[in-house]
Amino acid sequence: MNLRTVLRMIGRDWKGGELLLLVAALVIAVATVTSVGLLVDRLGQALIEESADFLAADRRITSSSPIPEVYQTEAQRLSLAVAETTSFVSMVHTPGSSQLVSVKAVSSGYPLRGALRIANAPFAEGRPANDLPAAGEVWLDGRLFPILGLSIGDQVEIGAAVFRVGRVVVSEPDRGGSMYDLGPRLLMNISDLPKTEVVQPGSRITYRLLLAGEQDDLEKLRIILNLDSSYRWESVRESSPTIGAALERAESFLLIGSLLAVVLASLSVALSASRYVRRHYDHVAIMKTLGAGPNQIIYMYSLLMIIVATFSIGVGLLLGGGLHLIITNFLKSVVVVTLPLPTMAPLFLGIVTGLVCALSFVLPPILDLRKISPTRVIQRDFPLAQRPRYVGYVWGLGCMLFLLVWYTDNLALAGWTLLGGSITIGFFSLLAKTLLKVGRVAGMQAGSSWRLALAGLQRRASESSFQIIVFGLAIMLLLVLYLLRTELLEQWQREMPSDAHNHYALNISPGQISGVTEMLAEETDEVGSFYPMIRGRVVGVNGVSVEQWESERGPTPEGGPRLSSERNLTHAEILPEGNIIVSGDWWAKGEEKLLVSLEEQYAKNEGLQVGDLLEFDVGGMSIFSEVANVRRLDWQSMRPNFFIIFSPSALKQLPTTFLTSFYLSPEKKKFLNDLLGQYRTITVIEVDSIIRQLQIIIDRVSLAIEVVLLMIIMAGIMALLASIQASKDSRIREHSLIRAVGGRTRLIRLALAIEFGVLGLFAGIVAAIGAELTVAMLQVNIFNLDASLHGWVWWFGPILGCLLILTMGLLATRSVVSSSPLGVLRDTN
Amino acid sequence: MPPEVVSPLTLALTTCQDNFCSVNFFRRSSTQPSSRWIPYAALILSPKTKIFEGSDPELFETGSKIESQNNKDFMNRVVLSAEKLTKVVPSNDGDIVILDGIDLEINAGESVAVVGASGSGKTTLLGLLASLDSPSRGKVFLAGEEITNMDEESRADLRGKHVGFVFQSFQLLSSLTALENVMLPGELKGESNPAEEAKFLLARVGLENRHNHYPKQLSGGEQQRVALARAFASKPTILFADEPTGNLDTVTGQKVIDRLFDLNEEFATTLVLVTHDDRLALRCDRIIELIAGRIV
Repeated sequence: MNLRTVLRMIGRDWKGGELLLLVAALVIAVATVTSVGLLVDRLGQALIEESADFLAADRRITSSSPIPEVYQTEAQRLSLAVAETTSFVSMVHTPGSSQLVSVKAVSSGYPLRGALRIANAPFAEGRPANDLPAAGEVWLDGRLFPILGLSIGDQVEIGAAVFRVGRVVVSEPDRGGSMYDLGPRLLMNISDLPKTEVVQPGSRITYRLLLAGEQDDLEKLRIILNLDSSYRWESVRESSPTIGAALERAESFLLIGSLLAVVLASLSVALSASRYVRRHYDHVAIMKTLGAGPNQIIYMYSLLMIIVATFSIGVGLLLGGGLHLIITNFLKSVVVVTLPLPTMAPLFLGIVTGLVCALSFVLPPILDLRKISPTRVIQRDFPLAQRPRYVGYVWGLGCMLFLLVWYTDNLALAGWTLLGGSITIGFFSLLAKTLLKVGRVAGMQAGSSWRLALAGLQRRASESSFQIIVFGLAIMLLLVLYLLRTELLEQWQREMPSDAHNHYALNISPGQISGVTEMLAEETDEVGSFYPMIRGRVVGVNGVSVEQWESERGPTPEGGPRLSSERNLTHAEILPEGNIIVSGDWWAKGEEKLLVSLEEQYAKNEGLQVGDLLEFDVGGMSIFSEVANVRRLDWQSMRPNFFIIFSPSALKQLPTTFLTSFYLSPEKKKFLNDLLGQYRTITVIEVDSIIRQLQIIIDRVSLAIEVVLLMIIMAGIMALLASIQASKDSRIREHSLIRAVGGRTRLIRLALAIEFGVLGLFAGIVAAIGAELTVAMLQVNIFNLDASLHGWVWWFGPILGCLLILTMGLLATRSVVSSSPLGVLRDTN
Repeated sequence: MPPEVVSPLTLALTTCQDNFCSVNFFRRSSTQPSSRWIPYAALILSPKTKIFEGSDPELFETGSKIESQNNKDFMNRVVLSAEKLTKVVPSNDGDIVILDGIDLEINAGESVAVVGASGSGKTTLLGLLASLDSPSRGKVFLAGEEITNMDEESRADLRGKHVGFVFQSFQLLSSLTALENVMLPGELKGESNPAEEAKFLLARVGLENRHNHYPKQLSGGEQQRVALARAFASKPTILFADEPTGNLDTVTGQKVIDRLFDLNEEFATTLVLVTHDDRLALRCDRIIELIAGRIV
């Protein structure tokens, strides 16, 4: 048999509609994975780019020592873009005034990611800067203008150098890099730094080398440099835990979404392939009587399937690409999204998914065809010599595991997902059979349509159970995704409410607290607590110097906080909101002992535990304090958080300033001038731009999640359709018989409606149970959220199942009612 | 009027056939019919039996002497035989013997009717003889080869070369048109242009205007005629027919049977016909009756 004959066979099967569902299922499988892949790829890249703005680079090396020249040379050798920044706190002087500012000296190329926004007047709308401060020029934070009584063009003095004020700095991408990057910003050219003479041995300076380029090259550089503990390699996840967590959750969700899309699409492919092959049993038997041998049959159908799979994969790729373009176009009209070009990976993903689906779900039933006995032509009920069922299951599970491992790059996660899925199916199977039995008993008491429908369900018990499982799984997955999406968005909303504190006021002296409180109460809606704050650092642990302790411990994990770094210290009588004690006890009120509380990760990285004795240097004074407890912090909240909290008695004798946070709406921004005008020593940190940026990221992640949900729904509907089609033939035969013996069309319609309604209802019940269990598991294990029950799922699941299956079932089986009984019965014979 | 029962040997000298089977085997297509007139065995009571008028006595006395002898050899050649053929199927109540030690021989060109009540094992016997199924015990020889020890691939090959089928339920492929159904054997053999022969055969069964009709668009009789055309498309040595009129009314059934015998005669095929219709059985050379899986 030649290719032309096989092509003719495909043409005939296509015309006869035999191949339509299989092709559609494969196309949907490929299109779903491709479009989700393309979207995830582009959104992921956009998110990384967006997130990279927080660093103004893809990675950066930070140190309190100058960055060696060789680091830059190595980076450039790897074709990475580089820029340098040097930050320190200094005083800026004008003839009549002076102010503590946070100076950042930048080299050309800064920022490598994101945009520096500038304006020509304080508090004016910013625009992206195309250049950097020229030599001899500085750009100042808008707030400095009223404080120092400056205008553009005036001169300021920093150290030994005088500079002209060129522009207003509105925002810089890496401003949020450190919450305590104190003072309003002064931006200058790095070439001017020496002439200021402020950089002296012992100065507290932060040197940064910004890096941008391909991930692989960045990773290569990291390995080549093998940084010692005095240099920190930073990526966005470490430098901004909030963004990092949002990204991780989004990735997990999108990953799970893609997996579910593949599972559903594979289910459709398996069902359609099985139906296609079943419908060809007689064809094969006839062909065998005409002289076609098993090998010829396999060759013929394999060739047919290769052509069909290739065609479907091609169409799937085109459809997936088109679909993702439509969605991105839609996104453009909703939010300003600039998506980078996709990589080839999603197309490869689509092709491999199509091939694996075809191999795992189409090939096994085709191989069964070789065993079809030609005796079927004279004895229709001749038993089928099929491979043992478990072989198919094992093969299918194996292929699915391959896809899961490939997608997740995590054998354990893939294995557990598959095991969980198999257990769920087993549980669903039991539940479905029980429900069918209960339904049959109830149906016996009912009218003829009900009896007909429920008897039909019971008669096809295994088929019906299978359909309940398929419907149940599809609805469950939809519910799971919806619940997770809602859960994630709500969680983000909780963490990032629209009135989240977006400004921090520091250096508030005890005497200023009441005045500041009054001003804030008048102009702002939300004012937080006042936290005492003092700078200090750990100098010893259990009688050992901190340097020795650190060298014994080895380098801290990438980006982890270092023990010897100077930190903001506070003291508190009661455990701050959002903090949870994980070991030890919080101290009692009025505790006189010198105790300290450490943040969990900080303690873990430094090998500290309850009972350890720490020596602190606070303003030149030594304080010995015992670790009383370890706390877990919610770093994603925008509340002030501290690594180290002392018991009140520890810092009682020391002069502290206070820190507070408040929410200021954009239109009240000028209030800052009044506040800073009245209290000149106070420093205000504006994090509103960080919050805005975070909200943009969350919006994009939410959109991505919704798009994935949409694709999953399409894959789910496809699986449902395939499942309905799979049982269509037997339904057509049965109902034709009933019509032939006088059953009215109305009776058939009603019976079908009841049958699908009941199937949907049972599937909905099964789905609700499965969804609650799955979501609870995912919440706890994957998303680090608290497990919770969702009351609405218990009524919405069954109703959704009932309506969805009823509608789709009736639409898909219109031909059951419209087929001529004579034609059907003739075909059956 | 010809005698009611005639010796095949006598009839070989008195009837003619324009397509001798051995010639038929070697020619490329039925569209190039042989021009040779070969004496051939008549079919008992066949209404289509052609009586040779003997206008050219020399034909038999001189030129055809050797061919007559070949034909006799051919007629005596056993093309299908069974030895101790037994089929047992397991059931919950123990083994059920469907066929019990059947021995039979069928010569080339012979037409044999297998009759018997429902459940007597007729269809099972046909399935075993036609290499569709394997026996529990015993042997089947088809076209000189023992098929019972063959693997499925070889049996399929043998079926493709030597066997044609006509079934009660037509067994046409519903997704194929009448022409495509008849082309199928040729396609499976890898013939380059099976359409030409298929069209010829469809014309022979009177369906030249139904090439592009799907089985659903054809009547039962028409479907069975398509099945007939398809059966002869593979130029079989033996044609197995399982209740070919079982799904047809009497008049249509009669017409189909006439076509079957016409083509059988034309292609000089050995016919094994399973039927419960006595009148149909009587049109065959020999009748084998089965009762409870045994020949009586």
